[in-house]
Amino acid sequence: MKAYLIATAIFSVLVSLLVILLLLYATFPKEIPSKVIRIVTLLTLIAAIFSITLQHRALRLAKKEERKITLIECTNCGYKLERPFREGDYVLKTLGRCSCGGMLYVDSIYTEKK
Amino acid sequence: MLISSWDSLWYLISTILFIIFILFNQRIQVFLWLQEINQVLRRLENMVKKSKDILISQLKSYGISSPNLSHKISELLEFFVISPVERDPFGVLRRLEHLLDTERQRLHEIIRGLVPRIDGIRIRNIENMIEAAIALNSLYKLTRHYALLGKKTKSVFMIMQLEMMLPQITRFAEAYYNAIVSFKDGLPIGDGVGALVVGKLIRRNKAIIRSVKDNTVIAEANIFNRKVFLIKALGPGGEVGKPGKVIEELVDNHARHDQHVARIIMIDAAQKLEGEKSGEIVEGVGAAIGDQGPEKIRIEEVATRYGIPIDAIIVKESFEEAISPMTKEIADAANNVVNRIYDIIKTRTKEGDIVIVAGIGNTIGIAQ
Repeated sequence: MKAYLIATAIFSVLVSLLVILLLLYATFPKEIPSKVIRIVTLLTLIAAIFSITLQHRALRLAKKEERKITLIECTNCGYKLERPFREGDYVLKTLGRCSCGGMLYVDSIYTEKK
Repeated sequence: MLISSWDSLWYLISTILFIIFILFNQRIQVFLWLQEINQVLRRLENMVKKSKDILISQLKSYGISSPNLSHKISELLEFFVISPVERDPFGVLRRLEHLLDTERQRLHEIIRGLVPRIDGIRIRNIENMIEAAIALNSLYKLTRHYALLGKKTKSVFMIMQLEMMLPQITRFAEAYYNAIVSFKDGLPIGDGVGALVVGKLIRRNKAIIRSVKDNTVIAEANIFNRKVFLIKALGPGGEVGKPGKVIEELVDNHARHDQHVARIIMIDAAQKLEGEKSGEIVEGVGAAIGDQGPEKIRIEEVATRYGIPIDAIIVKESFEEAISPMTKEIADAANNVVNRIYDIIKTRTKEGDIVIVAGIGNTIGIAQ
């Protein structure tokens, strides 16, 4: 995921630089040789395709990231607390006493998309 | 002159390309399909490898230092069960039940052989992980088989069918892979919504656990002055128990003492259709249990024998959700199902009645 994001950023910067070059050519067409500009156009196209593909993949991966949550509840006062899931958590596990004197237990464990 | 020669060259190239596309269009199409199939195959292979690695690391975390653990796991992934003969249907479910029991026992023995000092909860989680890994491995091998067979026989239809099945195959593979991860962490899965509902009923009504038979818990509670038996698989390890057998015995035992069970309420997860909302609660009648048959038939037979109405409450979810970590929508639905059960008990039974509430599904991550 991190690698995809870095690669996407690099390619985006590359596309931007190449687009600036093309704009320069459009402004001063005589100063830059046409052969160079053909290569630049081709490189822009390739970099843009790579950038779009990587962004698409990064988005797909980002969509799949989920948070595992443990919902804790008090048997007496109905106090609720959400915290990240910890290894060893299971539903109906007793976690100790609430400040009201009731028992704190795991009411449910679920995943939520970020 | 130059322009004319360029024109001729372009004409020649385009004619050649046209002929190539006319003659080899099918081959080009098959080539593209095979590329896509190979891509999915590589993904599946990667998933199988990763699932094996997860299994090995999990077993190693329990203290195994066997040198050929990888080989043993590879062998385990090839484990199979031969279905009983169906051409003679007499006693087929009894035979199937025996085979499923033997399968479970065998897996249990294999894991015990690998990790002798493992506790019951972990052994069940490992069993579940192995079952999901076996399913994933079979899916990969089957896909590979048809891809290679299609290539070998040059069968366009075989390759085309396989290519069209790829989205489904990928969905199932991802679901099995996610299941392995959630079994490793001991997270509740979507299929466990029935067990979650009964777990909540046990906790909220301060039910007393009467017995544990075949890894199935029988708890008793007084709800609105009705004697309610709450049944679920023994958690928090990955277990489905034998709710059918337990319900049958419970009803029979009460009948022997001239006590009649007034109603059976079953809660289970059911596969939603595309377009339906996850976590939607639907009510109907019948044995809400998605086993291969042995448990369902016991419930249907005992209910028919004593004329007991069966209410079915199902929570809709996709196949992927059923074997992946439980989502918030499904966990929230469990609370609504609890209220629905209270409503059924209040409106469809009388004070003093005996009611059975069975939460069906894998109880991983859910205690009682």
